[in-house]
Amino acid sequence: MSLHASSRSGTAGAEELDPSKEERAGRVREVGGQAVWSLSSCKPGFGVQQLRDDCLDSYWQSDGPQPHLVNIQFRRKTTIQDVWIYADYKADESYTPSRISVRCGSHFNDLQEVEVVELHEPTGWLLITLKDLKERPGINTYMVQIAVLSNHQNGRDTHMRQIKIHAPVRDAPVSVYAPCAFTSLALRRDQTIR
Amino acid sequence: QQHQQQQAPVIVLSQEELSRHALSIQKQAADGLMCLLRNIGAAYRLLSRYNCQGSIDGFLSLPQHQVETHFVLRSIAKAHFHANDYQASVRYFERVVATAPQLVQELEFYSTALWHLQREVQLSALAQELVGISRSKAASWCAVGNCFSLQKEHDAAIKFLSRAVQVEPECPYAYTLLGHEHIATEEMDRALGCYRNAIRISPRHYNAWYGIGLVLYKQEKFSHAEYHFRKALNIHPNSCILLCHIAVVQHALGKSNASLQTLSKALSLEPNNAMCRYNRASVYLDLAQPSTALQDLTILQPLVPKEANVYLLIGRAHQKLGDTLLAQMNFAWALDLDPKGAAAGAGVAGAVVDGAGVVAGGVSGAPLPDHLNHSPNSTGGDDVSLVSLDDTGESEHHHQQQQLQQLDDEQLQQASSSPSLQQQNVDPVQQMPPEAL
Repeated sequence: MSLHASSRSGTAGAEELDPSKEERAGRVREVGGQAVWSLSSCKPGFGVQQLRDDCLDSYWQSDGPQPHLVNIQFRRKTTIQDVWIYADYKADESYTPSRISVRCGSHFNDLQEVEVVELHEPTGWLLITLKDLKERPGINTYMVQIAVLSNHQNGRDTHMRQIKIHAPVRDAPVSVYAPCAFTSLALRRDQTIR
Repeated sequence: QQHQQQQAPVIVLSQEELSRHALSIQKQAADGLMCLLRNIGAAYRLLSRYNCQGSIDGFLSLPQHQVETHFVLRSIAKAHFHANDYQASVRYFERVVATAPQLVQELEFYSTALWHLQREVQLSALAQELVGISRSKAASWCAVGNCFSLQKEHDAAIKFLSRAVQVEPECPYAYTLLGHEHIATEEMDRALGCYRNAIRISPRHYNAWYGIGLVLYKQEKFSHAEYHFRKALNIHPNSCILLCHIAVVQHALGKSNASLQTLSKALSLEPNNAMCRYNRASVYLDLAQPSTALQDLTILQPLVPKEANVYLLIGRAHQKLGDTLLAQMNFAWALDLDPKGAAAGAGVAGAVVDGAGVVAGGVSGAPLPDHLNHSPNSTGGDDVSLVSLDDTGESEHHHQQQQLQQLDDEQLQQASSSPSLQQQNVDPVQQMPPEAL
């Protein structure tokens, strides 16, 4: 199960998992902005905008029967590598999701479950890496559905504070053979004309 | 009366002589002016034909007080920029800004030069200054766009570059930068649209032709890409980068001899160019001429001592020549510099393993050469992120997982074991019984 949770007591002093750090390193980029987001249900004022506003204080609150769904549909097939979810048990208590299923496919009737993760009192960012059938990172898909199957303390509705979707950056320089990124200034300078 | 006698003798000139004298003075002044304009024009013409060295010499041969003007300093800075000498370009642009702080013309090239040198702080300061001076010039918004692009926030950069295009629709460079950002966000159709707009405005904008070539290269349409790179080269004939790109595309099309010729031409223009030598060595390796490749690599390696790709190439060359130990040493050094990428590279090369224990002992026993000692590198965060064992990000090279299972090399195990360590740590937390409230 490829689940990483930040702020585990076992690894005190380990680096805080943070999606924006990965983005700044340049290996991944956030592709949520290229997709259409929809929710199975939401309370007025606590919808998609709160889920995608880069603010960890605002959240999505669902308002219907379980499972609660977040549907993310892309215009074209996109390789999705990471799904980051921010959940906070201390703030949300019984609204915190405890079982999350990630499904991928071409459309609503063509989804296949790719990952199921169990959470236990999460506080912070959770990383779910998606791998295809051959254990290679990244799934090429039109649609990703994040389903909240159950909550802590058997709560009915769920809060989700932020979701980020990462795709790998394919930024290989124009070169005959370059598996590693160039690091010296002389080579980086000649990689491209801007 | 004595007063009158001591008056200075008056030289009486006729009206004709006076007017002739005045005319000759005027003529001399006009000649001087014409001469100056002619020299400036000649240097500017050389710059427009992208004969950068010639134009720099032309401008610097002007009288000193003319060189210190905004226009001349700007043109010299642009000439250095087009010659890919970004350090010199930035130095001249600093003088330009000192000469006339309220002018923002052509400072978008300054911001791009800072982008190339990855000077975030200076670029950010420049962007703020320019926007403060003038919000209605494309140059200011281009600088802001470059600033965000350097921070890898390509969506924000697109927003600001679209603004640049809005305020000044006839600026081709803004369209070109916007095209580059669209490539970074993988929106190739929009990128092509932007580049075509830039060419529509200014057909001699070689950056836009290069941009179209780049998009086609990424879509693997190599012959079309070569056509567009050649068009860019026609405009900017002495550009080593363009020659390198054409050589790469020719090699991809199978025209390896042509590719080698292009690279030799590039190296004759700029013998110290690391990228040309690197590509030539790669082409020689692909043509199964490892000893020739090694000649180039021995020249290249001291130029760029901390480059993992170079050690991978040297390793592959030694492997083809049968020097297994040297090959392993170089692969190990490459792995040390860049664990993930080098693992993929070494795996694909099919590193020969004599026997896990022997190889591991031989490899780990080899002392690191001095040039690989980890000294803090001034070029910034990139190096740190490559050298540190990053465990949350996944490798882009999907071969890595397979090759790691094939290679029974201890070092590779150590390099890649951190993700599995991380996963082991997760289980104990999940098995903790939920605390009763």
